[in-house]
Amino acid sequence: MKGKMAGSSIANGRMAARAFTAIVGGYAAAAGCVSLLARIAPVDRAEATIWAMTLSFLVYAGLILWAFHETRLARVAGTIWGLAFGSVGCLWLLGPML
Amino acid sequence: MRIEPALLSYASLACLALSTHRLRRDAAFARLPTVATMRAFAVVLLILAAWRAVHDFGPYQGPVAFIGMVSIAGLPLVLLLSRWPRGALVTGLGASAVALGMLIPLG
Amino acid sequence: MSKAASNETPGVRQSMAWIHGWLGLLAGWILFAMFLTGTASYFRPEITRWMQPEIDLHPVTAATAADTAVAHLQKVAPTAEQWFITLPDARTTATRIFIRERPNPDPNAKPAPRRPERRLDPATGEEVTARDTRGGEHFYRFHFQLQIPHPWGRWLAGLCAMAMLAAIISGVITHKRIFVDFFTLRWSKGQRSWLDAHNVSAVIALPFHAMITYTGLITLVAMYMPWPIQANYKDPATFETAVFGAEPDAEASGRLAALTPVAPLIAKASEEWAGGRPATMVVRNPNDATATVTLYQSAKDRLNARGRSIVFSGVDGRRLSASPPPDPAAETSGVMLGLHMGSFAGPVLRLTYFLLGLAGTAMVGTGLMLWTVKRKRPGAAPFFGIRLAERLNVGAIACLPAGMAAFLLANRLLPVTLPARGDVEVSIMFWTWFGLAALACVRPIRRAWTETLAIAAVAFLALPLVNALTTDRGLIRSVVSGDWLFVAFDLAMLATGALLGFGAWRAAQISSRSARKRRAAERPVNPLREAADAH
Repeated sequence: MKGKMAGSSIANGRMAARAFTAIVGGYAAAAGCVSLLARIAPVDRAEATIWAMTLSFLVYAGLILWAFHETRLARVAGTIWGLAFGSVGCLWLLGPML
Repeated sequence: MRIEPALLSYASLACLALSTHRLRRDAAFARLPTVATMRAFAVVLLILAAWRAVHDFGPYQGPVAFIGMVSIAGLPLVLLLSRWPRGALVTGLGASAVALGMLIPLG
Repeated sequence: MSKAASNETPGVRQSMAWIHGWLGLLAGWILFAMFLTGTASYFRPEITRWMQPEIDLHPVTAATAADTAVAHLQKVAPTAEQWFITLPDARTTATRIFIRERPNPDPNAKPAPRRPERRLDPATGEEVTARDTRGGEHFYRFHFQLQIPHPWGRWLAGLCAMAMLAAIISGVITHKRIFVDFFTLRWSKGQRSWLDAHNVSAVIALPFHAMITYTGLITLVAMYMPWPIQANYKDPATFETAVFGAEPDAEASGRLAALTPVAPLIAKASEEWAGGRPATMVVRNPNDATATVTLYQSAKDRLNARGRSIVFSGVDGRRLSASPPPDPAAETSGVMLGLHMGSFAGPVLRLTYFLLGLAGTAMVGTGLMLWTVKRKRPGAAPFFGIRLAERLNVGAIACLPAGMAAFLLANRLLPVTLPARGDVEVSIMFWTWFGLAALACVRPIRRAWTETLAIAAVAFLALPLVNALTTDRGLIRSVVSGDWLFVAFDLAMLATGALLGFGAWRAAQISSRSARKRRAAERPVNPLREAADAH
């Protein structure tokens, strides 16, 4: 983890993939998950929407940190992209409420 | 100037500093109250500071003011302690004297 | 992460330390600039007033300011589509107006150029003329737009803010014995001193840093995270109406009707808001039968920065509608916005915000220094990454303040009638900042620190002098006439210069100490002595 293989392009490629997953995938996953929760939560629409927007950054930060903490890249990529595509897919199927 | 919460926080943090072993060793005072006493003083002063902040700034801005002022008090204290360990006692006593004096006429 | 290196999962503290270091480094240079300009922005109106010393207005009531502004607008734009009036307060002193013209019905005509915002004397309604300058607005806008075209600047700032949030969380997780180290600050111990300084500035003001970072993201949440709105509403306007109330957007009917006096409306609004003050007034379709006057509550009254609004008829002053009372979620996000902007803060709390902001700036700066100091091996030549980081540190930490001082100096030294003066001032800030950073790259790193900090110090110390020479509001005159804004400003510039000068002096000390050590190490051994020792 301290960059013993830092010169190797494989390690660099894995790091780039991890960073891309964390930053882009993490954003998509956080946005998708909080939006899905806002969509299905049984509370007033405006309230759910605002809570989702407000808490989204905490979720995003958590995903970024986890993406760099968890050693197995496959697990990181699977979870984050899975959450991203999964939540966005559900939202697309559900469609907006109002 | 509504700075009593900051002065009280400063005094409280000075007491807290004087309850840490490193500072007690560096400052090397002959007779100092025990660690437990210093911590008790610190808590009392902090509660006074919190009450004063709510009194001065209202129930909503009060907590914000309190938290901000504790931080603001801590920074110069640490800077001072890094050069002048005994300064904790001196300035802490001074700050609490001034603050408590300012509290008397207002209640 | 390399699996071949070791098969054990790193502890949470270790991985958080690694993340914290990299996030802090990559975003740190921009974050330093955001913190410094953001901190300065807490005195945005004061800076603007300092930068237009010709203007010296006196406060009036909101009703008077509104009346004079409306009278002025009736003269210059009686048939405009919308009038925006920002009422003055004790800090901004001037009324600001903005006119949105009616679009030309001819589809082939070019769209009219946007009229710039104008400032009026609130007592008379006359336009104030003063040197063209962006004032404190420049630092404020840079703080979240980074002088990069919309929307990329805001996105970059948001990304850095996310990095800051993750860095705070990882920093707290990785910090062992957070309370034992609370008061520890050791000087002149190299890496350990920088670590102490970073810990102190970070931990003692941790509530502020966490709050300011999160609430900063919330200020632009509509841009950064609109997806929950998309998920719930086919048309985002429905959401806006639900939260903020419907905007009156009746088309102009073409029938003329006199505009009702606005002062009574202000009184009615204040009463409805239990003493709250209006900050902004928007008149739609003035002098038309469908005219409306919307009053927006000031953010200065309470923590929630999203004040309420009331719509009155512009013809007879009837109350037409108001913004809905906020639900807990809207109230929370409004309070978060208010906490970041600090508009509610009086003088004591504003100073507290300012000092805490400086602590945050110190946190980022000491972190950047720690990163390079930690990785330099004594004796070995630093590799490219560290050299680059060092140069960027000089550019961010020492050259930005020099740029800000240059901005203020330019305000005093550029001719008052220079065209596009405001833009020239801004250019001077960036040329100084980046130019000095580039020039510093050709100096040895230790000299670079000393020299750039010294230049920045001189620039700040020169400000009160230049102010006294180019205006009639120099320090002595201000003390005598009780002009405390100008006195405080001059003193703040002197204090900043002194602080930077102290930094330059320390840098010079450290530089000469290590130069002496290097020379001692390189001194050739006396061969006769060696021969004598061998026997």
